[in-house]
Amino acid sequence: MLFPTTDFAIFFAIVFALSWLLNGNRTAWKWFMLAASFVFYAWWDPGLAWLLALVSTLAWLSARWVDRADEDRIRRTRTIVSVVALLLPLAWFKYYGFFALNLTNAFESMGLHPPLPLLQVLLPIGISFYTFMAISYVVDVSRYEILPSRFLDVSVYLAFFPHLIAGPIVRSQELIPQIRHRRDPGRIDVARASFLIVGGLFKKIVISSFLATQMVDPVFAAPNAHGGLEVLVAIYAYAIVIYADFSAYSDIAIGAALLLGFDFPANFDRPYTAISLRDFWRRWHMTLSRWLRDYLYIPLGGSRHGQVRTAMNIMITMLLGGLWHGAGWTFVAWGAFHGIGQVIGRWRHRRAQARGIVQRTSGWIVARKQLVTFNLVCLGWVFFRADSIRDAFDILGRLGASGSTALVTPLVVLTIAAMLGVQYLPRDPAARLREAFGRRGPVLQGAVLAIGLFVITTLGAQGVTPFIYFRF
Amino acid sequence: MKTLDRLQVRDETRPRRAVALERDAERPREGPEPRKTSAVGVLVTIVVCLLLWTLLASPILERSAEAGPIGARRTAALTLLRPLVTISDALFLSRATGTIERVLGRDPNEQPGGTLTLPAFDLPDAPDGGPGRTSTAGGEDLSNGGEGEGQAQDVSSPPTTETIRTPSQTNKLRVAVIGDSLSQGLGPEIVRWMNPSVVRVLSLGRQSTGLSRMDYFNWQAGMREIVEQFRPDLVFVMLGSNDSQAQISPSGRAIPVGTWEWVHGYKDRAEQLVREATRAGTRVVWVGLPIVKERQRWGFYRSINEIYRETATSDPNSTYVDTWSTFSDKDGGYSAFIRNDHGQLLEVRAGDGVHFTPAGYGMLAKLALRGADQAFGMPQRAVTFHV
Repeated sequence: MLFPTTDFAIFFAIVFALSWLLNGNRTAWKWFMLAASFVFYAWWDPGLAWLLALVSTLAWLSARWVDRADEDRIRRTRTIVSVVALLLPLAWFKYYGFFALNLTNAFESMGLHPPLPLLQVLLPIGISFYTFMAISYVVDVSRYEILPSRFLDVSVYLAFFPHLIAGPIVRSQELIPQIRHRRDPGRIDVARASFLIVGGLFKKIVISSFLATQMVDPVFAAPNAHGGLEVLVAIYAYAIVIYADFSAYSDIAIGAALLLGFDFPANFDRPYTAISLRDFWRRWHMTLSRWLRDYLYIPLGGSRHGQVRTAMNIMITMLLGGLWHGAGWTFVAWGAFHGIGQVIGRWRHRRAQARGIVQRTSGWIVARKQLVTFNLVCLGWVFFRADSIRDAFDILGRLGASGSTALVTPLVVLTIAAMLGVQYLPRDPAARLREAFGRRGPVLQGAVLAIGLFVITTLGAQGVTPFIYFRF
Repeated sequence: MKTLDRLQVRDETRPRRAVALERDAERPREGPEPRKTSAVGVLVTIVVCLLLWTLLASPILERSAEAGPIGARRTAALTLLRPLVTISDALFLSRATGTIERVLGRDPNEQPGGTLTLPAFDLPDAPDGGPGRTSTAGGEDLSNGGEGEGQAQDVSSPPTTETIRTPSQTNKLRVAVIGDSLSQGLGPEIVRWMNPSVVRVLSLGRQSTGLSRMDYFNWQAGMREIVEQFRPDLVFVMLGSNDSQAQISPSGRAIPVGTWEWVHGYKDRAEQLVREATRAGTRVVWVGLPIVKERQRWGFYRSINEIYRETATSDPNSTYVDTWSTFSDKDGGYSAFIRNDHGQLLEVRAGDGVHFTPAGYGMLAKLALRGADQAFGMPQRAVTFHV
């Protein structure tokens, strides 16, 4: 079920009422929420709901099995076996086709018979997200950070519909206690939730759709037909499209969870104000960044074993992070680009420290760093968006070309500038507006929201395209 | 800091080295505590919001529902929405929202599928006031004798002596690509395989369109608009993947799919679409539907492909390009993987079994261009690939 649809609006209104009605009886609430979440998931493809049930069962059993071992070595072995078992469905559904195709071509080029059959395996939506959450639960149990939970708690934790399809990747320690305990029906932050949901819908339906259809899609589909200026603006536009699209999903997910009494971690913090690639990853898809840090980078050794090992660990983390987004060489290149960027940034920082150079933080210095970082991030997005590595270089190669500028309309430029500018604004005015909204009565709040939704409906493109991160 | 007892320890006899504890999920936020509302209050907000939004947007929602496939969902939606539109009219809300729609740049009376708007193009007038056609053999033949990826399998139009004119930088060849979502993928790849310095391609495909539902989007009117404004030399048409549904007659009557009346009406619409272009001297390349994963669709797709073939081959200025066999495996079945010119396997079909991957659209575009070349003689300088 897509968030920006009438189907979801009706679904949510019913779930909201019943969720609060059953709030006092946690067992009934959990069964209800599990059923609702499976309905939400099965709306796409009822045939794949079993996979969610399988991963939930596997996570529950694995955590119990790991927790029965008191000896460190056995515990670690069981954790590794469990993580591998949890990764198997993801490996099959997400990477088998890519792996088999590349292997077949490699074998055939050497005149050998390919060892694997070619199959087009359909990727079940959300699998990357709930697999990572399942791994985090088992590893947290293994690390004594949380005790094994009941089957129903684990199932609701993984299937809870606001985060199910595209995150945020909520850790078990954050969500399971909230699932267990009665939510307070008198303390809903309706203003924050409303702003997140309506703002998210605006970003997705109006901003992202407009820039994608008017600028990004035509240019990335056929860069040879576009001049350098159009290509440059399309690259910047894509930076806005992917931010507006993905942060919109996170905002709506966080807002919907808030209305149900749940607090999700933030997923974005004004990412295009970052002053380095490292800083960017602290602001972009923050729940994935911390997952990669806690369950990959630190277990690999983090920065504890010298410069070379640290650089290797960063590269491994970013390469696998890139590959998590999709089975394709473009995602590997994107991950490698960010990995190399972070290694160089770290090396420059350490060199400056060794020479006793004090990092200056004047406005101009920060602005220059922000400008450089934003452009580096945009360069990375070219690989992320392109259909192949060759296409990415074709697009970059067109930057100096002359040609049409017809797509670069004032509205396109204004939209990009506004979406970037908003990230530099102080938070206070928005907070004051939210506070003012929160003081109004429910009827007036409903009327204001209805008008906001009407404007979005009118401005928005017809038909809603799936969120970009659904593919991951 | 929470304590372990909140974690509902069921077996406290076992040793535990203990224990990081759950993060405080309800930690206080920085700044002043936001004003909180009760669940009942929020429910009132949600209900008021949804009701008022439905009332305000009822004309838009009604148009959208009307565009849906004939069936129970459409009937239910329209049954629900029509009284709301009446209320909206009575309260003058429709007029107010219509004004807002106009201010926001949308025509409240347009077709549900929207109207065709041609992007800006800066081209000089075509010679003789119409699409350029010369009888000189300006184009080099692109056909390669039947080998390799993208080879047109079946180009059924009668041979014509007139080739597509040789374009120049000052008088570019004008090409348009129209149709449904398949053409939206085909269009950019046609752009990619044509030489932008001498060819201007407009990719004008529209999602969810076809010939069945002219009440949703009217491609005949669209073609007329394209011919009048852009005066293309060549138009690629690829549609039909959404057409397995009842037609709506101009009087609003539903004509069920599979009936003689449906077939007759569909053929009329296809012929009219081709005629709109060819009577102005534009060449039409009708790209047939490819084989799809779902076998139940094969019969319908083959039958409308036959209509397209008959229509396209009945006019010397149009041609039909078969894609079914190119994208079939050696046993005539569906395959998501096809070899390219270099013998390398590519994943060419999207997961839905209907659309293509970018690599697949690239092959489809080559196939369509070779079809155009075989029928009309495409100048070599107009394309960027060699056969």
